[in-house]
Amino acid sequence: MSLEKYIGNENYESLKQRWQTSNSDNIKVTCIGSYNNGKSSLLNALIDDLENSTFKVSDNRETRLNKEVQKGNLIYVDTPGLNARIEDNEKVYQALQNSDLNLFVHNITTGELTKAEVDFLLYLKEKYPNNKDFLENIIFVLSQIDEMQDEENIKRTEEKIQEQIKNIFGSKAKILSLSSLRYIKGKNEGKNLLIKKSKLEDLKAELSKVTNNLKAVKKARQKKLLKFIEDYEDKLRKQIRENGELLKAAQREKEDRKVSLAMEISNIEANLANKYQQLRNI
Amino acid sequence: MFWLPILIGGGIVCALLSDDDDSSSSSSSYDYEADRRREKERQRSNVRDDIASYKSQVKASCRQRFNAEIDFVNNSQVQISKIDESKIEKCQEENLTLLKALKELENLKRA
Repeated sequence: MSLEKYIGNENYESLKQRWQTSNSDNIKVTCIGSYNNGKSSLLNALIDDLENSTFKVSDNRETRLNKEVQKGNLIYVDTPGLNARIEDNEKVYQALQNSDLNLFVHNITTGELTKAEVDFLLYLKEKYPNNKDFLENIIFVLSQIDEMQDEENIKRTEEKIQEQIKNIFGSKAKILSLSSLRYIKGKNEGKNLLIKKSKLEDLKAELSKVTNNLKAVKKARQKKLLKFIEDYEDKLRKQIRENGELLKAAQREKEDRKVSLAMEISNIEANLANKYQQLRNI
Repeated sequence: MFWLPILIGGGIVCALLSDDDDSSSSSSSYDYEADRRREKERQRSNVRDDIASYKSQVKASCRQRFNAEIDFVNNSQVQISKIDESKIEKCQEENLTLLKALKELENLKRA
């Protein structure tokens, strides 16, 4: 396929997948963030896996590939940790391209966004020239509020992070602070107060807003897909122009070569005529 | 009686000398012509070698400097038998695949 050659295998596969799923009723929710920040626990809480085991939770870096689990019409995607390897960042970016809603998980106990997280957001900023589109589809989830004693401290950290986001993208983003473990514990023990204090229901409510507005989701997908195709059209047109210049240069070079060769041939013929005359004179 | 051997000896020497003279004069005339022909042939051969070497040298030089193949016709005339166009062909091929890729994208948009 000519297209695959020029846009690269991964982008081609992504385009094919997006094309096939652009009209799907399923909604993809992708979870990104540094490893050990609670991405897997959050996803387990969202799918009500009270054993916290569908998405692997570990102190070691467990998620190396994007893992998908479907519940209802929501498909949850877990991605590798951001602070691991550059090729992992690419995998995360691929997942985001096919996603309808993104959750950026940050461990609130570590304070504001880390350098690795800021670097990744800057990397995404480069990939998404239209920051508005990116910020509309992302929720910054500050996890592990159960380990924070002070509500004020949570609020201050939220503000600091909002400031960091604004510095990067120029606009504010949606931020939700919650505790997945508190939610799972509350569910396991049937304690509604714990569930309420976990604030996970707030996130579920945000997800419901998206699922209840499937028409808008599909429209956004079409818009993203069209933009993706148009970006590649521009790139291809640029390559065609550049190749056209190369072709003209190669044709000019051939003509120059022919002129020089014709001059050289005149010299050769003159030399040969002399030599044959010399031969006849003997 | 005393002079007889001397006369016989002298006669033999004269005869021998006279034989030598005859042979030297006839062989000198034949060798000159042959030598002249051989010398001319040698000169022609040298020029032919020089021409052959020159032709081979300019053929190699044209291949190296102009990416072109030349042939010799009617001894001293030269014609171009092939001139390299691989860069042009590569660009044309690239252009064709780029246009195909663009068409594929346009079809996707229309679908």
